Amino acid sequence: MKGVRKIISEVIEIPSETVGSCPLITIAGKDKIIIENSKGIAKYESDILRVNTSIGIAEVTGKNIVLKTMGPECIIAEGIIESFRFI
Amino acid sequence: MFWWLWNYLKGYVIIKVSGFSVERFINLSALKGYIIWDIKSFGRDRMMKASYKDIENIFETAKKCGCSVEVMESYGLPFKAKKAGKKRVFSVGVIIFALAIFILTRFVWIVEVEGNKSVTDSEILEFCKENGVYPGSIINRADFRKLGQDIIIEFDSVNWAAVNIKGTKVIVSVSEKLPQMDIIEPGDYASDIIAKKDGIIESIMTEKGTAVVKAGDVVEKGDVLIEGQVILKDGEVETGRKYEKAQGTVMAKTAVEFETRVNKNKAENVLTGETGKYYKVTLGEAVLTLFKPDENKLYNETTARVISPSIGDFKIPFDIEIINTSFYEEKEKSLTSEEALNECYSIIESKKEELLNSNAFITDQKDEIYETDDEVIIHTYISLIENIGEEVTTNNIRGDMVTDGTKGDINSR
Repeated sequence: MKGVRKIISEVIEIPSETVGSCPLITIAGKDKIIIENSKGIAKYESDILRVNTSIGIAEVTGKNIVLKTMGPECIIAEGIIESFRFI
Repeated sequence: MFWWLWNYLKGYVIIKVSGFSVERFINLSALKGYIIWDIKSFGRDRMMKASYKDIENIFETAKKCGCSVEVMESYGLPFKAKKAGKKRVFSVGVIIFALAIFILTRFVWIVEVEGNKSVTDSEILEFCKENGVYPGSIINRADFRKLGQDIIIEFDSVNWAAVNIKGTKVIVSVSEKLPQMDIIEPGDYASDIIAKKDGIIESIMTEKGTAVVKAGDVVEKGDVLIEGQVILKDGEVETGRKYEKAQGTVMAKTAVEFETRVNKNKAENVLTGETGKYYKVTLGEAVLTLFKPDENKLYNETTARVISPSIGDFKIPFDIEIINTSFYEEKEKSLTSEEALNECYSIIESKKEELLNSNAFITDQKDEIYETDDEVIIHTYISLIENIGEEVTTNNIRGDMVTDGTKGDINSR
């Protein structure tokens, strides 16, 4: 099914995050990160945030991380962001 | 801001969640659509805000996840209302306030008129009052639609009127007819243009009527400059004359002479540096003055601010005017000759401004200065070119024709 969605998005040239569950991650400046199409948080401390996504776990490290908005598919975190990676 | 306001109105709680699987609790709450936000980590605990309406479900979810939830604080309107409900006097006060606002909004507090030019505000307001719309009248009793129609019937120059209510303010919007064409009414008299002062004609521009003077003519006050008779011709042959309202501009060279005196010893207002303020509270026609300075003291006053309280569109019918005062003392002052002369010239300038109407301009000015021990006197002679025409009605009916060759009656004023 994932493969089909990817093919459709490539054929009709639309962003894959709109047809599938591919995460869309937006980092605004150094202090805000928006993770859409998430599958829930795996770990949350004030200095680390791990979010489950369809392509792996997204890890955000920093200081004073606060989950400003917690929705079923969208997470907005604020704080001093030091790094971001997939693990 | 709106998010905060929305949550405040709905009510929210700050909860502390602790336990083995707080992340699972957060995920499950989000999945079920419970509104949680501002999640902060404090060691093993997580503090977060949750919607008041979801609190029961949140407790259940926490139980499923093996977490404990503790309500730390509660915020928002529902909690405030609950707390206030226990205070009887406060509750009664809120009810009285709401009742007072409700009752007060049943009355018209202000009536405004807009769009009128020839009909004055006071005429329309008076008519509205006669028809039951005035500050203090009950809104529900007034028929604003009918009032708008009655205004159109009452005032000839109004061709459209609408009366709208905005809060407690009644706005009477009117639209007046365009200026009418030059229609001759029965009994409408013709007129001539005569000289209102002596002078030498510089130029004459006739719009209606017949010019009887030309440039260079010397005219005296009362001389006819433009006659209201229009000569009707068939080719070069005069066939008759028609009476009209003479119109035109007659520019003439005139002279003005006046004397300006300034006393060297004069009283002057010297500011003491002391300032203050007082308040005027206006309620309808009643004016209450608070903290007004002593009447024996001399002071200038300027309005600093006018506070007109209102709740949205509901104007509260009183104004508070804050007036600044600056105190002064009257002191005798002796002017030097130069100062007196300067004052004389400033008076002359203001007199000249009065003399110059829209079409006049000064061609020559001569000043003769005299000085005595007490005063400075300036005799000013001014030559100016100005419109000296003045319309004077005659006894002839406008539009009448004379075709018997008598050339009409020019001395019938």
